[in-house]
Amino acid sequence: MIAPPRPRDAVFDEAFLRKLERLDLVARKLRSGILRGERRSTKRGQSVEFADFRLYSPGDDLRRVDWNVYARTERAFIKLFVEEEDRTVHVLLDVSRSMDWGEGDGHKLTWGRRAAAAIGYIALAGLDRVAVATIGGGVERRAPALRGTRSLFRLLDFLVDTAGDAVGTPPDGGADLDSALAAYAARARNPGPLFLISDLLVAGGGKAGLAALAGHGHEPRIIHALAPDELDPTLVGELKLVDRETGTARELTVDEAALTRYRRGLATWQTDLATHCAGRGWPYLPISTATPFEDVILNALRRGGMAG
Amino acid sequence: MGALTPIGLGLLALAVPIVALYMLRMRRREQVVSSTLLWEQAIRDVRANAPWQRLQPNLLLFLQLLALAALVAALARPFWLGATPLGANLVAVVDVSGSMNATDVEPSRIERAKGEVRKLIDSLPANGQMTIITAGTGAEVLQAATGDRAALRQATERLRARTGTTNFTEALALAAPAAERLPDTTVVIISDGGFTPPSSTDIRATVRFVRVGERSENLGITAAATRRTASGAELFVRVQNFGAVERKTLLSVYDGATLIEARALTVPAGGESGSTIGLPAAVGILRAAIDAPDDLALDNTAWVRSGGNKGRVLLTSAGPNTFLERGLALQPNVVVERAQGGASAPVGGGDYDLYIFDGVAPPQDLRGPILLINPPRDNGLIAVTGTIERPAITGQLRDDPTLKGVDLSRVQIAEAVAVERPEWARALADSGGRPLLLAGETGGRRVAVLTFALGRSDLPLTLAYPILLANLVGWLAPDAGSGLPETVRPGEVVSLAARSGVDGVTITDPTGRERRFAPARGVVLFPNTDTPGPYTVREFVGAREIKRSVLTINLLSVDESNIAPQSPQIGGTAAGAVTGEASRSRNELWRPFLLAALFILAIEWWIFYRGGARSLGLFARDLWQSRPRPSRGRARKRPA
Repeated sequence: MIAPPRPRDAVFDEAFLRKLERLDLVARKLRSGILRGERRSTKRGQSVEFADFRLYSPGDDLRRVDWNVYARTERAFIKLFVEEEDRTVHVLLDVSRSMDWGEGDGHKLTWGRRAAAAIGYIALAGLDRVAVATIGGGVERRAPALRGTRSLFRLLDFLVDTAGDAVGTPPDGGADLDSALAAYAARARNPGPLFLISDLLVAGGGKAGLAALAGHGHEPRIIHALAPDELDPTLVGELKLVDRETGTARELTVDEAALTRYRRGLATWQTDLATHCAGRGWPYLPISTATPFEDVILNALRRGGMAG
Repeated sequence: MGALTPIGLGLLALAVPIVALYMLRMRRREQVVSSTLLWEQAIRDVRANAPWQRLQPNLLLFLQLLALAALVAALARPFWLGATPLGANLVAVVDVSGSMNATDVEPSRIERAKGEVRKLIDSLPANGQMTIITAGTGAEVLQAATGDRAALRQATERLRARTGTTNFTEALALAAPAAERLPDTTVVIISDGGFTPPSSTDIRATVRFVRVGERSENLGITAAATRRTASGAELFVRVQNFGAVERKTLLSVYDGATLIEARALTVPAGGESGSTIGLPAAVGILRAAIDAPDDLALDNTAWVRSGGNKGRVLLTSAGPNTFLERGLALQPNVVVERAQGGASAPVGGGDYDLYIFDGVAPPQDLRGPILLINPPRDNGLIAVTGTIERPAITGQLRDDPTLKGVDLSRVQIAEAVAVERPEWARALADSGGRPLLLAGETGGRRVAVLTFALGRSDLPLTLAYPILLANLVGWLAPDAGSGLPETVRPGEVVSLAARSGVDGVTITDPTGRERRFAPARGVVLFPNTDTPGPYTVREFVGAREIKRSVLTINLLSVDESNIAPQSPQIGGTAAGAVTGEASRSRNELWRPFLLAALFILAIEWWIFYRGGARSLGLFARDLWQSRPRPSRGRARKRPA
């Protein structure tokens, strides 16, 4: 039982912590089944587990030349080992103004903070390093690298502090998700699994930013969170649609035909994102914030793709 | 259709500022969304018809424009001429004359007329009342004013075309009070127009004419009568063709069942053909028939009683006697013929019902009843002893049938013949015991004697004179002129003057049905004359039949046989005429338009302030189904 040391905001209440604990149990079970307690790095490095040979080239460490092979073949081979390392799980939470949307538990930022906490907690429990950052909205926060379940509350505190970010963001200009992601990619050391929790409501859907992350060695996993009324709007009438993020207004007579066009556009957009991510091996998970975050996380873990 | 102030229509231009203001004013509800990104697609597709899009689904604007249109229409004061609208209350006058039997429209004109009446019943406003009047030979209120549609429909079912002529004067006389009793009444005449329009009507109501009937293919007998000539009796029949093509037909004349004559006729279109047919000496009831398959069968047969209905009177006088001739001409049931020759010339052949001798002695061998006026000496009937100067009538037999209703006490007489009262005679009037007027039966016949010349008294100038003459003729020649009219139209009420003493009259109609009547005040009224044909009239005293005569009932009407549908002018000078430009009513329509405008404005107000828009929107959605509008908290229904 994780006891909250001090009252936090409503997002991380007792019920949330209990859910987190249960999630961790399930996650452990899944992880033991899938990963056998340790993680392999795809990198070759210094460890005890042999991976491969390659020809010596000048500058290589002479200590790693396999002399036995040299004795047999008179050619110098370098022994390569699977590098064992601390994995850093990055959790990026979009806090642009468009995330400040939704009602109750379906509020996108609330949902995103909970999901980020859950992912972070599971990663911490898995002895991974966790790097949490908020992007978008012009304010960027980065938590210091966290390690171990004891860091959970630091993670939560960090996420609690993000609460006002989205609302505080000036509406003009909007969040340039792509540049924020690119900046993060440039700064972040220890690239690794990177969870992006965002509504991707920017032109281009953040594809450029994701590409930048991938270029720096990150393995993006996209949790595309949209509120129920974004997935299926219930607007009607003569409307002047004001963009929460940019403040720009569009006039539209919303009737069934317009709603149909909206749904068609949404489906096209999501399909395009899914195709884009699938082509690059990035897990893409479109969700509605009406779905409880723990279900989403479990589902993601079960499918395996997200947990890596 | 027209407008009294068409310039008012210019106000329709107000629609432009309304629309313009609306476009300027159109407030779109501001709705914050997380991002307009997703809406771009929806907006992009719509932009193509953006100008329309701004105005398209706006109910309030639509209602405003509608209200404006209605207001402008009201200001323009539109009206329409011609067929006047039906009033709140209706009086239907339905022609049930013979021509309505015509089958030129399926199934017949009267059925069409019934249909029209049903339409009127359907069009009757909720609190309207309707009266149904039939116009045949007589008029009848079939259904008094009522709002009970079931009763009206039942009355409509009772409508039946009769066989007579059309008496619209009487029908309109019935319709007038019915129309005036209720406000805003329209009198609707449903007819084929086959009637003589009344010269004027006193209906203070709108009169509307609904015509039934389409064509006029009819060949009909419009006249049939017998007459006596020097060569004997003959029958005259006139056949008229009311159609548009020449027709050939066969005219057959029967005496009872015996064919007397068959004659082929060719009747030109719109023309007529008269036939004179010589008759044998003794004939009974003549039936003239044409075989003509046409639209109206009613007028293809006519019945005529040979010899006519009138008694024949032979008048023999020493000189012209204007008083006597005038007096006899007033008698409806006799025809007077003057004897050829002078004073005591022999009476010509032929049986007369009454012989009148004025200052002339009757022949000795005469066997018929005689009225002897101013008897000469040696007249063979009564002994003349001298003259009386200025006799005053001092006594009269008041209860004698010949003096019924006659008061002779004031009659001044210059000179009378002194006679002795014979045994067979009674003195109807006397002057101090000297008879002036005698009557009695002698030699198997009735004889009456007036002892003074009419010209020598003021009797012909008194009111008593025609009555006395009628009484004398009636008493002297009771068989002469049964009192039956020469021609009776179907549907007419026949008034039969029964002889005194007759206490029962039976009338057998052509279908063999016998009806018995008891004379009231000497008159029998016989209304059941719908069927054309011969009617046998028998008069009884107790159980003894004293007289048998025949009454023939024929259509014989040009108006009815001419079934060509017409639109007559009814009361062209009276108020509320139907046709004629001058009298067409102008119906202004601004009232409904104004009401519509107010109604629309009320709806708009309700929508605007009471939030009726949603419910109306839902209503509109149900109405169109093409513009479904989901609303919050409601399961979205997709149109099927």
